Amino acid sequence: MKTLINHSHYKKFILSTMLLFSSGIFADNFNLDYEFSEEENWSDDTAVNSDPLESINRLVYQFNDFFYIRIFDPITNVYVNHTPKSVRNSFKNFFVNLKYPIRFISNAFQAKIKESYYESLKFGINSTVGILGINTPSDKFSFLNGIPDEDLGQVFASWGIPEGPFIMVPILGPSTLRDLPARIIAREINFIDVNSDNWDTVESEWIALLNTAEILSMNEEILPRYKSVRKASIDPYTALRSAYLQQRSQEIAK
Amino acid sequence: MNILKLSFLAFFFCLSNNLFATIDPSIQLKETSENVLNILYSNSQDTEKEIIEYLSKEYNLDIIIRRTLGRNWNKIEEGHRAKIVKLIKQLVLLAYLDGMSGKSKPEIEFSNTRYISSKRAEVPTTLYIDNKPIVLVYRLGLVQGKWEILDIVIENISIVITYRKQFDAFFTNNSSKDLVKKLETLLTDENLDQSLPL
Repeated sequence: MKTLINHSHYKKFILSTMLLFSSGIFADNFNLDYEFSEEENWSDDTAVNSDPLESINRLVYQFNDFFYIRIFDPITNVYVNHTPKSVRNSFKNFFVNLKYPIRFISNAFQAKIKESYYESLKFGINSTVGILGINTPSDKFSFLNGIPDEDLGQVFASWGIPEGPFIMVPILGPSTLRDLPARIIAREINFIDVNSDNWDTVESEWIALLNTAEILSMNEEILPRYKSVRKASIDPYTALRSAYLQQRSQEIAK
Repeated sequence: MNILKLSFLAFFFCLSNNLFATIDPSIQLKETSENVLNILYSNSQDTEKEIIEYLSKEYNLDIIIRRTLGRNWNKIEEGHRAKIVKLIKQLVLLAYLDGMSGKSKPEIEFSNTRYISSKRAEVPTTLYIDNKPIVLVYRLGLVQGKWEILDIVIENISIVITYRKQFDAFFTNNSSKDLVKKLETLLTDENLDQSLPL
């Protein structure tokens, strides 16, 4: 053995081993203080939230918070506790199905032809076989699942319209200057929009009832999330703004 | 002869250290998530404490906390740093566990790990809480040869970014002493979600 490996080979081998060993141990030493360069951070970390209306927005947020916690939440709890889950799911499916025109138009305006076609197909199946959208037989077709929910805000973004400042809308909650008109237009396209001229007719009573059911159905989904953000936040307004803007930017990027 | 043996031992130790870094981070995450859920859905008295202790063994949680504070770290008085890290750890865990809680124990589906660079990876998962799917992405970084959690993104909302924005806003008018007080209030006030803001 001594004749095969001489002393200098030993030294070289030990040196190279130690070098390799130390490179493995100390390769990340610069990260010990957990500071990463901006390129190594995920890029959205540095996004600046434009909020020139912050002082007004914070007041609206306080009003909304009072409204959500003191009025919406107890009503929603009564709805959830006294309505069977199957009925609540049927309501939810029905209202999601009714929003088909917005999803179709939003896809079409972004030249997403395949998605427009799939949305139409889904609407056709759920409205007929699924009895007015109460059931969702379209779930059985994998290609009809997971179609991204497109809205007019995404259309405006794809046309290059800037996001604009953040706006806290009374009752409706977080929005931006670009998303707010999109929501108003979407409301006009909605099948069950309440037209103030028709309040005296019997039909409008049904429409108002449907609107209430829609709000309850939406709140069942949204309020628990809102409450959990609020509970674990140092500054719930900033948390809500950041969460909304992050979510929107991801939806638009898709 | 002994030197030769030692050299080989050192060589293999070094090799195993580098190999450890190439192990898919989702393997450890899977095991950890399962164990966290087991603790969460056990009838334990102090679930939160148990989970923090368990997670601290598996991952260096100080990293994610330091990232939530970002540049605000320098605004915190040295005497308050350890306490603030501890309190934020509890708060972030509260947010994380709140997102994972359901009436029944959630199912977790792990997708393939996405490697962003040699030191960055994302593990996308889908949580089925009461049959509702929630997309949760773990962002990981290789720190000292070990995959550590840098961020958790729940339904496109990053915990690090959301908290960092709040700390940025908080430190414009407040001190680290105020932060300690605020965090303590948040963690002790059981009726906080029912308190009136007006």
